[in-house]
Amino acid sequence: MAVIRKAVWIAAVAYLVAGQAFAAEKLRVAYVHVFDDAPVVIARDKGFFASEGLDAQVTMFTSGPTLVKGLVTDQSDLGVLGFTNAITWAAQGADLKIIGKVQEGYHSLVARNDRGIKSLKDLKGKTLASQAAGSTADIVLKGVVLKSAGLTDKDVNIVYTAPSTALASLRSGRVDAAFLFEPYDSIAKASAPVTEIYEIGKVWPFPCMVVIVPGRLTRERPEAVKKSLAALRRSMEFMKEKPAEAARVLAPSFMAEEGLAMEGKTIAPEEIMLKSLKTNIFDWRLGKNDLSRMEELTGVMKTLGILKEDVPLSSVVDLRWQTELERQKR
Amino acid sequence: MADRVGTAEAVARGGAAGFWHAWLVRILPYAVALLAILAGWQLSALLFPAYLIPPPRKVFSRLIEELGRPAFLVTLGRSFYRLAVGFVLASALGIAIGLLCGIWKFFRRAVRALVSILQSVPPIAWVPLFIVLLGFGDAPIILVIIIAAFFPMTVSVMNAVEQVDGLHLDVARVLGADRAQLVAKVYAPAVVPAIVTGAQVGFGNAWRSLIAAEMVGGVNVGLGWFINFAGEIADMTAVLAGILVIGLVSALLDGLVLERLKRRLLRWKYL
Repeated sequence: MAVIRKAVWIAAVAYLVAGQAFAAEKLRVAYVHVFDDAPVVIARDKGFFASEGLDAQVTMFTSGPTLVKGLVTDQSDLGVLGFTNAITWAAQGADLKIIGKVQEGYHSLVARNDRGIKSLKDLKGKTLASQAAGSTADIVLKGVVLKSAGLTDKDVNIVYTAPSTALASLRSGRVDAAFLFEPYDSIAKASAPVTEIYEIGKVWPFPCMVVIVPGRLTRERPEAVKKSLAALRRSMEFMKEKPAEAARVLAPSFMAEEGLAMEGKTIAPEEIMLKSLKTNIFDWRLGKNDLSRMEELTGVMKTLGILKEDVPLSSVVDLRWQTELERQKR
Repeated sequence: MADRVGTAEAVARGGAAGFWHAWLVRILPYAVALLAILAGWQLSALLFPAYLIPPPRKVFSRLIEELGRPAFLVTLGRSFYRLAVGFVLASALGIAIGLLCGIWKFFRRAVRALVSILQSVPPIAWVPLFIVLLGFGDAPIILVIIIAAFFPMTVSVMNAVEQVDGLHLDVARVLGADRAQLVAKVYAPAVVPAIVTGAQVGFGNAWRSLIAAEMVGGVNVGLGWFINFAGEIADMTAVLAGILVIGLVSALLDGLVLERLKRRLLRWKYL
């Protein structure tokens, strides 16, 4: 009898210990509702977080600056957002770390065909719709795109609005041009009389969307950091290997079910998604070129008055897990 | 009521002491409210890191610094311009429609139905539509302010018009007053307190809607835009400086302009 009781106890303890060991680790993941963050949607919907042993609670935000507040106030453990958010908050004293890349900044500058805009220089005196002032896109627009044509934000009437409103305004002719990311870029080209005059991803590739975590997470839960990066890597590999399937997975999150109706025909959401996938570069690794672009953009932020003093990139970027995953792959 | 008693007592005492007592009665509630806000703020600043909640001292010195910058003054000026145009138009429209309701019963029913349908829509919800219809710039923001201030004014005046003493109307008619004279001589004087109430409620709505509309309305100047931009670049000191301006300006306009206007128009109530 005593032997049986002992065996039951051992079995119960073993069950509890095994349960603890195999229980998925909780992680609060946040992403911005833009196509640039598609790998997070794929990781969630294809179960890549779960297969890496993470119980990811994925939350959607409408802007990076809103999302980053969740990271600095301990309401999120990981976020995929524009890297300038990490820099601005680090400059104020917040402890944030960039641990990997997600997407290169693909933003199109599209102009209405009836406004005589053939190149960036023609934007002088025109109205241009863009994303929120102070966002990564805005910094690149002012500090790189306009600057390359010898223009400043004083030469162009920049109106800041949601991409959906920018798209509607472009269609109705309320603005002359818009600086758009996917899928709005593809939708604009498919549904409005516009022509792309500039694509930042082709002219000046830079790491736009990165993986940001609070410094606390890197110290207290390094394994969770590694697992999350591994899950996002699987997502991006999946998007590269099976774009058609990825487009099907992404469509419900980014497009209306009925697709895009224009001039009597309807473009399926999957078709727009596939086009968006082809015009974007998703990569989980931050390379040397990316880091030097980030240095350049930090300089741009200082020129624009967004940063009051220098923020050394080495204090914000932590690529330990990226290096480890790269080594494992080899 | 307490305010009236305070004023009456001050008048009764007379002289300098009476003046200072009256002044204290008016200022003390504001001072207490301000101290309570500052105490709560300072406490929060001790609990959170300075990059999330900067202490009042830091924000006040930033505000002084901003007030010396021409760009910030342009920002304030533009917000005031939008508020003034929107609020004046909304008030005029609200008073005119409210008074018309007094003389035209069918119109009153139609307006009441319209108000009950539309006043529950938050003014800010119209912004994307107005941008597409009117384009970017001041027009959609001003229209949002008009909507925000129009309904309280209209409802207030309409309710007051319905409560006008029938005897007064009968007497005026017997004396030969036509519809226009009824409006000018009977309805208008009777609805003055309602206009004041409508203006005070409408002003609060207009101020709030202005800031919200400037945050999402695609403008690149204005107090709402200033706060939004500061939030985007993690500058919480500027965010709080902007919020401080909203509170202070609102209290000043309400206390110095609207309250004085109320006392002037309703002099008979404060004697």
